[in-house]
Amino acid sequence: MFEYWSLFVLTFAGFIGLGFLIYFLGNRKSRFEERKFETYTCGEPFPKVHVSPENFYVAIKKGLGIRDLREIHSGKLSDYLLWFLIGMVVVILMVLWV
Amino acid sequence: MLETLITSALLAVVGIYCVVVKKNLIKKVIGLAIFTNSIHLLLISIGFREGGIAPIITQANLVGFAARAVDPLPQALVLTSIVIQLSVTALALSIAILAFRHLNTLNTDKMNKLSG
Amino acid sequence: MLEYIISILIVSSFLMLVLKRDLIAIGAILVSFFMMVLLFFQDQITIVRFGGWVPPFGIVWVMDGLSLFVGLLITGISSLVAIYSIKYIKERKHRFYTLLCLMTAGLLGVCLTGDIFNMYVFFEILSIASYGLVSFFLDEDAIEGAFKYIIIGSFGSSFILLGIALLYGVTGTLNFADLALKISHSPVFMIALGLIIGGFAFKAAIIPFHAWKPDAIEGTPTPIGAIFTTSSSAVGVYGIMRILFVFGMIQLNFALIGFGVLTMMVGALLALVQINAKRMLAYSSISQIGYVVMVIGFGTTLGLTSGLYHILNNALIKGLLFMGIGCVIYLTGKENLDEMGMNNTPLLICMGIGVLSMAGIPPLNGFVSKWLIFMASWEINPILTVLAIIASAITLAYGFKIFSSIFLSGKKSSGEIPKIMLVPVVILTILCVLIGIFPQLGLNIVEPAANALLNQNQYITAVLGG
Repeated sequence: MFEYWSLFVLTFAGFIGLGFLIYFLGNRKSRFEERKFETYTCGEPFPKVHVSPENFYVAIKKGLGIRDLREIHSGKLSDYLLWFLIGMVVVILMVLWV
Repeated sequence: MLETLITSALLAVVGIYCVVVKKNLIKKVIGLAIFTNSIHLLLISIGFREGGIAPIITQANLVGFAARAVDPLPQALVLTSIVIQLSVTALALSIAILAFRHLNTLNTDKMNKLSG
Repeated sequence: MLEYIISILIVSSFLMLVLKRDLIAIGAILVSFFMMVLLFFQDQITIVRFGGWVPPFGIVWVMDGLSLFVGLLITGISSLVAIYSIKYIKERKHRFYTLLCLMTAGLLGVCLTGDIFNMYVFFEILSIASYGLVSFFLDEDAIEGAFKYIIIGSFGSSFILLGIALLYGVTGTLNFADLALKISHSPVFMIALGLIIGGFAFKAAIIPFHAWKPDAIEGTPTPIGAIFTTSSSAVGVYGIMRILFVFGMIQLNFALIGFGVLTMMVGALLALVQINAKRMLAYSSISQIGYVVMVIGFGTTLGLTSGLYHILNNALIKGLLFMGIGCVIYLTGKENLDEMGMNNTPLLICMGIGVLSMAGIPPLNGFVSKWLIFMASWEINPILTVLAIIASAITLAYGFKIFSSIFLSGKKSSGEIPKIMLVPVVILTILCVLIGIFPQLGLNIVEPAANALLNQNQYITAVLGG
């Protein structure tokens, strides 16, 4: 069907190569120090904070239309049954006319 | 036979309306029973034959039995299905009792703690 | 031979209620697994005619390659769950094992039968046993999940009965082989097809029929969650495949492809934002079944093989992840991802392998089936491959979220995981790695199943001609 082992070797080598690339690129001396951000606190003294990578998941949650999907799954049984009925009608129509 | 088909369709619509729209859990279970019984009516009426006799062999109607008798297979299917519907309804009602005991309401719109 | 498997399971489930010894149930499920393995090595279509009546007048049970594949999967996962639950379930164990035996009997019965109304009866046995199992713990979450499942479930099963009634009205027979000979393209026939597919799609948790699944799995005990995501979904997809096979339409079917893509994307997106671990795994299972349904809709040999292979891999991976999460819940008692934490090394390795395999990293088994799915969808439309790759990337994201919440959060755990709960996890991990390195092992089971689906003449002559 396809050459399984050559595929595996290729993908594995690709991963290891990508790993080396990232390692060497990250090890170069950078001109900037570790980034700390200033926060505005109306003139009060406040230490500069370091932003953690968990903000990545917050950004994902705000985009991609997941908020609407969570509202559709409202937890109410009547809504679920209505989706079931609409899906059944759509399936029957698609089977009849496609 | 057309009357029974129309009755079955009307009962199915009433049953689906009760299950989907009504908010009380007991009313949903009753709607489910109505919908299932409408399908039983449809099944029996499929096997019907105009002017047919009941499918029980006696000495009197042995001649030409297969040509005159009503189809007994859907009747066997309906008997099985009535038993299945009975056990599902009993289980659904007992879960409704447990729901009332733990959550103190039978309104399904208020029971949406698991959502998202 | 086939009838003994189911009769042993049903008899032992009733004996469990009376005699209250756990060993009866565990022994019965293990015996059924060994009988399925024996049947696998016999490698022919097995037919049982009940009462000696010839089809289409009597009920007949047929085991071809597809039934054998799904049957092996069901009994394997059930036996692992039975061993796992010796320690996991602490109270009312006898009732648990009764319902587990009944559920396994129902699952096997759906796969083995060759008569459509018999399939409906076993489907209802399976559903009733699972309604009892979802509400097993009798607390708030379990009851809420249980009544949502039972109302949506019986609603869906009634549609299957409606479809069977219309089928009988048009053709006058209930046997699969006989139905395959009497296909007509009248509208009533097609409506019956749509209704039955909708009913089985409810069990397989395809969008928009999936709404019961996350709530039910959140309330149910964790090993039963493993059975729901692996065996129930497999039986739902089996029902769809068997109905389409009867109707001779294993071909490009836009309904299946459309719903498959929708399921794949929505399941993956919603799994990313869940807090409860079991709910996240439930959405993940919905997403993987979306892959399978999309690929089955193509109708090509490569499509069918990759779909069936993905069902097998999904069963192994989800069984592994659910039982691993069950170990964590058993020790810490917490189900939310931000409260769990452990530092057990064997469990870390096993769940790490599970997460990597789910994302499709070589040399694990997830890579094989995902690659086959990408190849199958590339032939039809490259956009589908792009969507599948995006869903795989999202799978890697939430897989890593589970893994890091449990093992990289710095929390310590107290107590030991019982050895008997680690045994199924380790068995599934070894299977994942083995099938990844030697994919021919999986293909040996899957290819007869795909061939059985595509050559329906063999099935028809075996049932009717013999």
